[in-house]
Amino acid sequence: MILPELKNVLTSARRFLSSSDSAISDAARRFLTPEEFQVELAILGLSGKEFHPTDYAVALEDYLGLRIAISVIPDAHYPEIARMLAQRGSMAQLRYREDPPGAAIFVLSSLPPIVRTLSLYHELGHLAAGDPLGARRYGPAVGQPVGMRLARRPPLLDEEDREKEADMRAVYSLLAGSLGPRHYYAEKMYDVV
Amino acid sequence: MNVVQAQHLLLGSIFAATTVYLAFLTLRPARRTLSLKVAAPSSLLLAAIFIALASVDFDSRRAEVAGWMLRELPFTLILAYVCLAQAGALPHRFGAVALEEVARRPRLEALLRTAPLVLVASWLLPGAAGLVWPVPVLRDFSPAPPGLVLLEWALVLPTIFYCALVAWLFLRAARSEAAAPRLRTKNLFAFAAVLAWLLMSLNAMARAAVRVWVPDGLREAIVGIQLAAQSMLLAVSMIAVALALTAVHIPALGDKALRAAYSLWLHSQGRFEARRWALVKSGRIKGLFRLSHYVTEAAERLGLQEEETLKALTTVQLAAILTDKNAKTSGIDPETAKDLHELQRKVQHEGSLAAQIQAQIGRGLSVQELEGSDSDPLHESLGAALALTGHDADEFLCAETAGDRPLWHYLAGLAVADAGLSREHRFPDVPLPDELPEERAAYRRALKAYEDAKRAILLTVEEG
Repeated sequence: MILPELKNVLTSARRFLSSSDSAISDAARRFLTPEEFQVELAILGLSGKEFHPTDYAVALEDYLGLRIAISVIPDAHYPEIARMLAQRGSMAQLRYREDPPGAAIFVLSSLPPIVRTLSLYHELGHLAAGDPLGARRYGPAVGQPVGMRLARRPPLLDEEDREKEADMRAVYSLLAGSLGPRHYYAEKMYDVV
Repeated sequence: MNVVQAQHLLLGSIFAATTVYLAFLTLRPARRTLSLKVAAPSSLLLAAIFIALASVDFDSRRAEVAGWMLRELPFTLILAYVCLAQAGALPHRFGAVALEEVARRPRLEALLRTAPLVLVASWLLPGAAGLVWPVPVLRDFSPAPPGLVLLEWALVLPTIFYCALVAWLFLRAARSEAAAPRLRTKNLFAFAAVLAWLLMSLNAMARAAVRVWVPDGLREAIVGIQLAAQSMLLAVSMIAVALALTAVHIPALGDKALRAAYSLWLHSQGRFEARRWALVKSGRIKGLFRLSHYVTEAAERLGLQEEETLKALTTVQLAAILTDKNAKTSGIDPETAKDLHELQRKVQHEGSLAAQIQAQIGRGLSVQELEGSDSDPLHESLGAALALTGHDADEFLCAETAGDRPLWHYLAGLAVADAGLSREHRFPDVPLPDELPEERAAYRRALKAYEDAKRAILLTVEEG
């Protein structure tokens, strides 16, 4: 079996994960668990379904009662924008709007597919968690938070923790959206006894 | 042994038979679920209680009430457990998730979470009242005072309510098209078990009324039918429980280590790709722009597909990053690259779902401005870059010696060698013989395209 080898890989890959690995190991204690995330998906009506960031955004839009716009910036025509954002380490940007309530997420078109997807889910994760504004690793969030959230728990206090949780939401979303009804936690929702 | 004792013995036998079957189920690790671990000892306990009640002829009404409380307690606790399981309120170490129907309705979840309190209270309060004002609660054929109805109904009404709720939720889960067929079957059996339990509770409620208000003669006849019905319903319930616990669904991502590996893979690849993108776009890697230009031009001359061109470009970028001293501080180095490549390989080998995830990444944005393809060439490109730069101990390659490779691989290898990033730091300049094996012919095509592309670009630059 290859599973023991897989466990070795997990151990060796810890070097790569450095800071965020601790976030994953702390998940059961402090951060959103996959089970809690699955409940959020059920509330959005996405549990057991294949979905993409746009589907998640539409469902979140309906639940939070605000407009979420996703804009892809064609940076191929403006390489200087991509260079500037790359130097700053910005992959996406979230902006809030007060009247009418809404949020806009900007993402660059030249990002590799997985980065684009995870960045979108990361920003949508901040919206779902109802995170307040602050210095942001993937770019600044501008404007005022709308004060609504999908998450049952209030946002984490520490900025770094909020970023880690948004990363975790992004991975959970990508897994759940890709696997649909074959996702472990979606199946568990029909297997309680 | 009187008729009531015989009834207890019969019910005890049903529980004993169920216990034997459940013990058999525990032999297979896949079936050793938390519910089986709860059900098997509970069934054993109930068998012991019913057999004990069958062997005792109560001479005190208080002792009778105590026996009744003892008999009802396991049922109360099991129903509370099922309610908590449906609400996803069991401890997280058991991987508890609420039923989807419950997760969507927070009030329903709150209602289910109150079940232990309500059910235990509905057991404790009538029991305490019965001990203070005892009634012949276990003598099913004898007449009883109205206090029995209060006692029995106070216990049974909350049970009926929660049984109805739980049964409805199991039925909804059994009818859901989102669930796997085996899970739907399992939930159908669970529904049948709880429905039988609900009918038993209604039967017990009616029996108490019969004992209080129906006259002698008719009462015995009705109670006799009710006890027979109770035995049948219990047998049906236990068979359904056994079938529900037998119908185990093996999830595609059932292994915890594999689930963790999938999460780690996506997280690691996302970070790695983000850093690669930032390094490339920020212009921190010297000479990369020029090399990418050569490769793109050569790929056009070779007629490579977009995906293959992307693989060649990614390989060149990775080779440049892996050999760039400045890039090491950015978090991409040969060690992390090798770790990620190994993780990709293992996950893709172990899980058939990896391909499904890979296919979904990047989809869902119906935007024409997206650059390149939605496919992800990283795994192959990373392997090629590690090999071309000599960081893969198992597979060192340079474009010239690599046999039977796709054109994009030769092209990337040539660009890497041209930039001096290959371990051997050479660019082939020796004319090749005309007669070549198939793979050498492919290499020569790539070489000619690369040289022509480079020459054309340099010429254009000079003219400019």
